[in-house]
Amino acid sequence: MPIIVNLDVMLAKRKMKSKELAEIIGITEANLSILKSGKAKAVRFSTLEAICKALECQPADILEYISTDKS
Amino acid sequence: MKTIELLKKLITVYYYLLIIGFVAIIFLIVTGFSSGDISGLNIIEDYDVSQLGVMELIALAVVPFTIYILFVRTVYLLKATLRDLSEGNYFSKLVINHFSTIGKLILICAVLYATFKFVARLLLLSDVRLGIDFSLITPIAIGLFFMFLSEVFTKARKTEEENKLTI
Repeated sequence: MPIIVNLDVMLAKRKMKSKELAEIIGITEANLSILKSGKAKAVRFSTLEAICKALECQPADILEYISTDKS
Repeated sequence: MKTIELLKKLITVYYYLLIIGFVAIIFLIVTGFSSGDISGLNIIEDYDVSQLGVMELIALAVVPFTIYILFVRTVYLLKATLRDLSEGNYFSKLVINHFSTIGKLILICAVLYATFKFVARLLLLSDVRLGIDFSLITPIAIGLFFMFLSEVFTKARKTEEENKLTI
């Protein structure tokens, strides 16, 4: 998938643990793990808003588009 | 979910009745052959099968017997599917595959029976009947509906997976 989730990087920058973030934004650790690993098919705006609020960042700090075109 | 439980019980009873019927048919055929009186077998309408030789009779009985076995298999698959559905596994691979197989089996049974009826009438009664057989349309429609249901459930499974992976 060309959308890369950089949640690990932001968590490291904020020195926050996954468990802590999961508790703050109100999702399970399993779901946060799915999001971190890039297995998620979609992210709700409400979840993105909660993550940005907790990590004091912008959506672009978490999500990144990398083109897969070979040309 | 009382409807699915009721349907499951109904199909289970129907399945065991078919099994009993299967045993009864075998018993009747074996008894008929051993006693030499096979006039009671109505394989094709009112045709007196006692005029036929043993090999001809076996050849004639194989097709409806095969259709019966296929139909029992269809009901068995339906029973297994309903068990899975009643447990709440609506979009499992088993349900999707079973719906598809059930549809195909119903279609095969319908076409096989119609062909057998046509050929048997032609050979035994020298009677050719062409036209729309409404008894054939119903199983074909049901078979196609089950196959369509399988496609719908496949799409529903994908949607469910996406929904589960939406964080």
